[in-house]
Amino acid sequence: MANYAIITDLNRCTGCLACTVACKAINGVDVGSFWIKTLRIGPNPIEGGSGQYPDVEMYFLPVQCQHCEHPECVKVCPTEASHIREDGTIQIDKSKCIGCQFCVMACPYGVRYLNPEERVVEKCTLCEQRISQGDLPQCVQQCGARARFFGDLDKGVDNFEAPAHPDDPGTQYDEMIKTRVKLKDYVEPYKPTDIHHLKNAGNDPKLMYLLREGRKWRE
Amino acid sequence: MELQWPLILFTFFMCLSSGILFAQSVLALKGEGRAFQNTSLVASFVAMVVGGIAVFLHLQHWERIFNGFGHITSGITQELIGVVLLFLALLVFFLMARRSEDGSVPAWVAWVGIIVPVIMVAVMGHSYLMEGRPSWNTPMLIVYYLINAALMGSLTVLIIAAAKKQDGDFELLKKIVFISAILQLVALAVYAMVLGASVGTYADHGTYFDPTLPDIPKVEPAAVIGSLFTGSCALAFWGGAIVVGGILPICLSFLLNKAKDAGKTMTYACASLVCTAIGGLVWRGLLYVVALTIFAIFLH
Repeated sequence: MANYAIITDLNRCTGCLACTVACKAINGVDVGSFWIKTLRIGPNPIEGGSGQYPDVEMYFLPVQCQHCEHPECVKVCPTEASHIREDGTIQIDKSKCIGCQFCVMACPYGVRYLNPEERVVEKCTLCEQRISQGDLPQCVQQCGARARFFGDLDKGVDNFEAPAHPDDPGTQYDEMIKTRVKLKDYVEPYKPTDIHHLKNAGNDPKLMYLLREGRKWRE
Repeated sequence: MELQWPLILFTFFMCLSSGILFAQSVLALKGEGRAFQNTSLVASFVAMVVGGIAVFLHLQHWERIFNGFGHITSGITQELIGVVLLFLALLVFFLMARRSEDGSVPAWVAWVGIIVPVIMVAVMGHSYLMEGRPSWNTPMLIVYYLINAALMGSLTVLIIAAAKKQDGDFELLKKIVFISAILQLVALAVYAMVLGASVGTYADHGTYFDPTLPDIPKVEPAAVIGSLFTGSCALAFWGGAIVVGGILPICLSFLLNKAKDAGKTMTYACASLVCTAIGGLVWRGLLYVVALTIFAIFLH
């Protein structure tokens, strides 16, 4: 049907935390819990540099469920509460979750946690309630640097989309969020080798990070 | 990761339960131990029940296990199948012993009593092999559980024999205890080396900062795993797991092999079992301390 994912252009991400906050707001994530976090990676010394400022570099890394191709969380779930949806996203059927937390242990990225009130595990749903209606995930919609793009991997990452402010001055917010620009057309040129994934533990993470040559991807 | 005591106790008691049936079945194969085999079977069953209760305490919604439980690739499902098989092996042993006039069981029943516990313990260990957690993702976890089960089970059966004033030699069982005790120390040492060698498998982000956890220090896999040997966990590792849980059982098992009467057998077997139990619990706990994800950043 589809194979949804997100790509984040780390050369554009400013670490504003808008994705982190927007996600909490739209999904009602409790205080102290996060479905997406924005980490600062660095400052780390540039290779061949003095090891001191200004020979350093850093980037911001939004981390959430990677909606893996071969998710270990789904494999270890005894009730199939964690499952792969037809659109390729990993979802949790909370009514089936027994709270054994084996998925929390199996996730290589530590993005799952036990909701202490509901006593079930939860994590990023890729805004299932929005994407099933043709909208963008809220973290993509609200990205302050227009660094995040959402789309179907089967249609190619170049076609991933994000809203963008039209050239016409005075365009209102409601109108703006209906616009769509494609990754390839909007961001600075990139090569396939510039696209990275979080460390793979056999789970084949699908979410992607764009970090162009000249900046070292650290994993 | 925080210590998950229900899971620690589950693996401990399932090793004990499986080990007791294993040891009693070894005796049954040799035609020994009939006078106390029912006690051993009850001890194995009780350990299984205690382990089962412990693991239920880990479930947040245990009532939902009737709602779709059974995904076969799940280690929990496989463990449940293993527990059922172990219970059936116990039951078959008990019924076949009751059926015969002298309490003997056919050889195939004894072999079932040997093989099923091995499968149970191996499946239990396998359920924790997760590529996302390099500290667990090693066959040494299964090897350790198997040896630990053989040692604890054999010691428990020897204690039961001694308590029943059985002065038999049970040489084979005593040899299993001694060899298991040595192998357990070797397994601990090899596992520790595997942990040490796993440091390079974690993601290395260099310096990083999580703005939502500003007071949590950076996770350094080398430091976390190194804490086992020279840091905050060194006392637990060297004192609890290696000396008490590894070396003392070897010494006590050596003395156990020299013991000729039930009294001395009881003394050395009890002391060895207590040391093995302490060491086993400590090691299981330490495995949670070093169970970092391969991403190596705490997000919660």
